[in-house]
Amino acid sequence: MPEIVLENVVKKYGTTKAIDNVSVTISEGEFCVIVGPSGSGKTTLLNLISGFVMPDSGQIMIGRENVEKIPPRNRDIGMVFQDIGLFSHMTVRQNLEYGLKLRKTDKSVIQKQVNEIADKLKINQLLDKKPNMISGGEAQRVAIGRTLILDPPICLFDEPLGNLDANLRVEILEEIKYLHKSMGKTFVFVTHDQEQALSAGTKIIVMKDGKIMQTGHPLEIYHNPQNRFVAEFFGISSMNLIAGRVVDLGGSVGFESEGMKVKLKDDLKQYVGRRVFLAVRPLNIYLEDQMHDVSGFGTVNLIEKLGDKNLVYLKVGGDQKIVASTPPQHKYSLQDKIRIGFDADKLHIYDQEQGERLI
Amino acid sequence: MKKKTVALFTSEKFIYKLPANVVLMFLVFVPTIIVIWLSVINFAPTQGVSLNDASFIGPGNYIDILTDQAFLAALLRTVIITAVCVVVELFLSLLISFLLSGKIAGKSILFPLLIIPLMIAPVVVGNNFWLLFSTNGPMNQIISAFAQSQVQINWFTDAHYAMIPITLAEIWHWFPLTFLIIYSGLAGVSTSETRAASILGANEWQIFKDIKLPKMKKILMIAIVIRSMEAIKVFDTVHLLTQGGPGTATETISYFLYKNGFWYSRISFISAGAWIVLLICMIIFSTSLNSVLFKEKKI
Repeated sequence: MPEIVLENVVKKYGTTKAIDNVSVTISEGEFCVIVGPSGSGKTTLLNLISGFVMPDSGQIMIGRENVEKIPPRNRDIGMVFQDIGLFSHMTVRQNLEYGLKLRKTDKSVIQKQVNEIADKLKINQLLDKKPNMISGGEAQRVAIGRTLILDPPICLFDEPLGNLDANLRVEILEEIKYLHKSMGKTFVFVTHDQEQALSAGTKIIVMKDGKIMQTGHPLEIYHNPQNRFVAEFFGISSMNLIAGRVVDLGGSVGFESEGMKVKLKDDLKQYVGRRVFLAVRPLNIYLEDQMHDVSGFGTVNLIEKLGDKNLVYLKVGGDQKIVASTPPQHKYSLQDKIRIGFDADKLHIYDQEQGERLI
Repeated sequence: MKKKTVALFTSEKFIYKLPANVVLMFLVFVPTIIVIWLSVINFAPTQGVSLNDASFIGPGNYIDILTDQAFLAALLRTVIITAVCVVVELFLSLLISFLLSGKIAGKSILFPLLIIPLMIAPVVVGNNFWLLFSTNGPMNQIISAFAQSQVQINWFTDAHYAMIPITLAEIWHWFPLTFLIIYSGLAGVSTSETRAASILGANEWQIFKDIKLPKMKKILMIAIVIRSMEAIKVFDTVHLLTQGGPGTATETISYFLYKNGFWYSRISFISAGAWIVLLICMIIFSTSLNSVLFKEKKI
């Protein structure tokens, strides 16, 4: 079964480690999204799987077979590229046929399969056109068709939506998701767009500087980011980061910063004295709510009315800013001093120096 | 009307272009007009017709040269040399470019070595080939070794063979030019296309044949035109190796014109010949380039 396993893979370009001791398993049928900022090594990781880049050390196995000596053309994988790479001197039909022709497939079978895939991707009307006569979105559809017509068990996508405009991006991503559901293949999808990653994947690999920061289900990554990098990468604007330290609150453990005290879980006792960030989403901050313990008081600085909710910008202590999301019926005025409470289960504490998550 | 003329001559555009235009006038138009003028008079100093006595004879020189057997033979010979050189050089260039397209150890050493012939002065190339093909030279010895008997071909004095060293010298000397053009053309094919082909199952040869070569039409045509223009003018190799001999067996167009001009001073006669060759070249090259380079634009 085509499971992809990387074990302690290292790839250096000169002295920089593009891939730094990465071990990961991508199971059969998964829609695995590799996400990270530019230069984090995600495309290199994909090229290691496809075979265009050879690792300096470590093992890559596809379907329990070490693929070190197998060139890309014999790895039985499909790949879609960011700059599409349609053969510009061939018509769309010839592009679709090319892989089958290399396999010496019967002409009538080729004809049938081309029509099938063209129906599936709605590119029938383009078959006799050259790639320079079709739009970017159509070209990417053709490229996907050219890959899928060979029915590879594994399909790699290298930022396939990078060159498309916003509307097309959503549309093509929907189609790729649908294709994944209907065909049951293993998809490995590289993107730098965290929204694409969250909406498409059944598994996300977050990368930074050639290292894997976190691997897991999208919801897991969204709700329980392992470290500050992942927390910020998935929604930097929405997360409040409050600098402070872990303190002993006379028997229980708490978080303290200027003008704020929050009770934490007792298993943080070992970290007392450590400088940390408290991370909390605006959604999980409660204003003037008796159900939650009081953690501090803040002054209303600004209120943004978004219709379905209000964003309240508060100033706490010296100059710590906190954004809270409240239902629109709540009415506060500027300069009101109001009480702040947190949803204790939705708090994250990150070490200030290492960036690692403590809870 | 008057205003316009003034504007034309005082405008900045005109002034900036003036030096280049003057140079161009002297380099191109003046000689061209002189040659046209020479080709329609009967100026032939060694045959007693000085420039003062020369009179207008219209197309007489053109008729003379087009009915001259030696001229027509030289023309045919030049066409054959050009065709052989271009075909062989293109084939070699494609072959070596393909072999070098993969990951090959020592590519950085091999590449400059391949370009060396281009940097060598034609005189040196001619001398080397003269030594190589001399009657007791290495070429005869190599052939002897293969034939297992003493072979002594008189490469330069036997009319059957004299074209061979000339053609080989031309190919050896100029092949790096087509190689450079073709190699850089092949290197320009986008990696995403070659990678796409590779992941679809194409091997190196199939990628070369199906993806790279079809994209090379324009570049191949440019290589053919540049190389042909050079080959049609072949002179130095002929001059150094055989001087057109034995008899006129290796006389190319350039050599024919040179001989008649500088040995026999038939100035008007060769002016007409030069015009005919130029016209033929212009028609062939401009149509072949137009057909490839500007075809899409016209649609």
